[in-house]
Amino acid sequence: MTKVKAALAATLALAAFCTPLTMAQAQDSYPTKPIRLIIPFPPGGFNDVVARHVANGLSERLGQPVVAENRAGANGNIAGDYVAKSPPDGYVITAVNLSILAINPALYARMNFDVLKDLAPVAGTAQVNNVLVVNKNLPVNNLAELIAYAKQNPGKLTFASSGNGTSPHISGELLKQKAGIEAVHIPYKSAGAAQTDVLAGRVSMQFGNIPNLISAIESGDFKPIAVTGAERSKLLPNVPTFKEAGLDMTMSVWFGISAPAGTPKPIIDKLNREINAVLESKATANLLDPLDATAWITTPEEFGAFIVDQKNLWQPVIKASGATID
Amino acid sequence: MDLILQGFIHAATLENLSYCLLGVTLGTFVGVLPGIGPLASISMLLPVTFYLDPTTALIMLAGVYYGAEYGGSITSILINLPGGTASAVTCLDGYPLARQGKAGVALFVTTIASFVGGSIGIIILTLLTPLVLAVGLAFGPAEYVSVMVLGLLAAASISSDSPLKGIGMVVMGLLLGFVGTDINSGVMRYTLNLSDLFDGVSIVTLAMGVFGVTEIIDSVLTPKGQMIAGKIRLSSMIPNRNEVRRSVFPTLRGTMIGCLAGPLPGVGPALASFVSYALEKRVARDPSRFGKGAVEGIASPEAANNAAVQTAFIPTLALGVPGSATMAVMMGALMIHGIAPGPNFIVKHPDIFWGLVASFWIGNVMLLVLNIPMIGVWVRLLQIPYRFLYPMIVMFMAIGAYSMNLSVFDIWLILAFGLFGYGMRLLGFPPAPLLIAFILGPMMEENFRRALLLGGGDFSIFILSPISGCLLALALALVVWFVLNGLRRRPPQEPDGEGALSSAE
Amino acid sequence: MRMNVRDTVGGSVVILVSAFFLWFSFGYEIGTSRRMGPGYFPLVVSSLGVLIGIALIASGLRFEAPLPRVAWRPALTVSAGLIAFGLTVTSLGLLPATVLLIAISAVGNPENRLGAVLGLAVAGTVLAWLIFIVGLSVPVPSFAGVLSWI
Repeated sequence: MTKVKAALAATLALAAFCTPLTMAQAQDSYPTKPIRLIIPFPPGGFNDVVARHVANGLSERLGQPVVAENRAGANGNIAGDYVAKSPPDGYVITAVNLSILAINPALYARMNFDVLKDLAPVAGTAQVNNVLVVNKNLPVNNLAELIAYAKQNPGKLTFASSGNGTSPHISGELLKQKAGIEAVHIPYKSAGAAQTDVLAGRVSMQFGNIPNLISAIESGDFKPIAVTGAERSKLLPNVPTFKEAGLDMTMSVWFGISAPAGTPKPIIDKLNREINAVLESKATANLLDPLDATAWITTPEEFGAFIVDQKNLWQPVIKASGATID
Repeated sequence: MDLILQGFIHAATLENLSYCLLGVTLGTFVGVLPGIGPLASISMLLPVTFYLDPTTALIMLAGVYYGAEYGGSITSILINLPGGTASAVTCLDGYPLARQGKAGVALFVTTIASFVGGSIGIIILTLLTPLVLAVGLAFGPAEYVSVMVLGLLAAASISSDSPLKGIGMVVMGLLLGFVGTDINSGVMRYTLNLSDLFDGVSIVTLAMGVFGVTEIIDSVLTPKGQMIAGKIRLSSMIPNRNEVRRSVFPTLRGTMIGCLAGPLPGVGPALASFVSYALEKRVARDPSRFGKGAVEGIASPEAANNAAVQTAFIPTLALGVPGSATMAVMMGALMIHGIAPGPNFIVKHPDIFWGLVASFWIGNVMLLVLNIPMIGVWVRLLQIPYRFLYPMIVMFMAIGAYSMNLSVFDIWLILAFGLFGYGMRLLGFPPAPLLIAFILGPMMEENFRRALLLGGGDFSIFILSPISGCLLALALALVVWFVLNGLRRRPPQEPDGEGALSSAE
Repeated sequence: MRMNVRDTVGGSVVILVSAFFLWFSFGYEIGTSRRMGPGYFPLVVSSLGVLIGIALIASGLRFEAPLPRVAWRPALTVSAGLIAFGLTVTSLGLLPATVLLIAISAVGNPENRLGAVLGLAVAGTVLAWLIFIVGLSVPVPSFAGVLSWI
């Protein structure tokens, strides 16, 4: 019996002694097994496309497969919660975005995790801008006319979005607050469904990403009002930014990679380096250019500071809009 | 005409043809696995298409889509496990046919009806795109609600001799559909604080439970351990003259309904297949044959489904508005290549548009060529005694469902729905209306509330819109028919104590 | 009393399910017809469900029909198999869970003797491994937890 105890104690001591050693080794040789990249949205969307591209690039550079895994639900919160509670060893990372890190905390009455405390920023990946379009029969051609129309016809304007808390929704709320106008939010399940009713004229306007809307803009079915970015879009060189059109409103939809909080710094730095290398490649440019997106090179610290900024920026907008998800 | 010819030339390169074949084969194989439907198969293969020419990429994905849809029909017929809502209707008569040793006939009719429906759908797609678009755009929230009311009533009538039982299942399907986050307000409903339910019950677990598990429990003790009576002869593989004759008009009627319903985003194919089934049952001389292995009950919905699948591409390509999640993924594939589907798509990229149309047809032909010889193989599967077969089916269901979301909760759901479905089956309640209401319900609520939001709370919009008004009048007629039929109801000819073993209810 | 037990029991189930949903719907905001709250639709549909259930019970009183026979053995074994799979798939891994699932559910048919049960479990697990792990590379570990050394 004592022998067994002694053996057990010896094993435990050995284990305790070995642990720091193996952890240090683990960091040097990371990764030694496949990495899982959790994508918090269903396949096919922008987040999915960019994340899968990064996963492919990382697989080549790290010599270990980076496996993309979709875990959609609750506007990204299901995946966020899952990753927040995963072991911080660098083998589970997630593709985050504006919604998860900056909107959901203000929008959801209950969050099962803290986006700043439970997730560690690794790197930004891409940014993309939205455009505001109105139905062709709405008697306005630019932002000034739209605001004037809204003030003359209170309660008449409606705006469609792909759901509560999505970027088209909060872009609309931001516009309402900045311009001091009223518009009824009509949520849909997908960008496509929202677009149909704006095309048919049942809803007055919508925000949306440019590649999705450009064909209808070119054909004249939608009238573009302004783009949300700091600069004009290459795809729509004649459409002003909101700032140029006279309204101080700039926003972008952004994407990045985070890991569970507590992931060792050397691992985060290594991932950041490799992700940036993937982003700087020609293949990334080939992918992002037609999507009107730009690659976004950051250090983990820059990305972290950006997240805090964005969270502070959106919180009051969402609170003021009254939108909440229970 | 020139353009179509050019399309064929563009599509019929050796590379495109081989990718089309690859897509159809992969799609069929993956579609046969429970839980992995068209959406999952296409998503899995999406990254591959980054490296292909856009036309080739879309041709391959379209092939996967067809293949997976067809794969769902195969399992519906062979083991009563629908791949999706559309194929849930195929279960109704396909599975009884299989139990009679006529799985070959059922698969044959499915293949041919799908081909006819698909081909005619493509012709409509080619010739009438602007017209179909107009129909699609004319359907606002109010019109949607009315078409779904009609659909739900049709759903209640498609199986069982008692519409009241069908309506009971419809109501429970609607209730299940409420579970999850309310899209308008963001409130969690009926989630019991379980995060697994925040996005609602997944359609796959419900279908696997009420169809798959229920059927297995019911069939395990099948006498002699054999699913089908007697040997499979060649004559049971190919439809006889009578069966062919009986399939012709249902196929054409189904195609017509499919072409009309296809452009309605989100609901097209599923709605088309059970509305056409309900119609066939209505016009049949002897409606009691339905649900017991009537070939019309396969031909019409399969033709409708496939025609709708084709016309569903119209809003996706010509408006840039994907009608379903699957279509959204396909559109994503195009956008990655810098091609934005939308009103200008046909003008700006005629080569891709017509190449695609041509490849749809090529894909349909390939499905035909590939699957007719395969029918024999599938049918042989049924000769395995059921006591060996069913543990394998349980395995495929459990792993298929688990691999979807890696959620153990989904397994508990399948079990719960399976036991519920079995109980309801013993009581003579049909599962198909439950599944259909579960799909349509959330969409109906969403559109109902949106219609009133846009219409300022005035209920008259549902009657004042001409399309919506007509649809509601039709629905009312159906209700009157129910009531009259209910009053005339004869003593039920439901199976007695042996009912537990009979599937043809 | 003459009654069709299928209809009366079935009607009661519909009422029970509807009542459950009706009860919870009171907890959600009903709203107005212009801005319907999340409780509006569930309230209407579940009330309708209660009515349908009552109508079913009423119609069941018109005819007589015997009680159906329940297939207890398959129901219990298939359930037990799924429960075993659910409990072990994360803790032991996909393959052990599959062995348990197939073996337990195969007992549902009394003609499946020990040899058949074991044979099915092994063959089915190999098939599952080939299709899901090798073929589709589903991201689930074949072995996990205490078995992860395999």
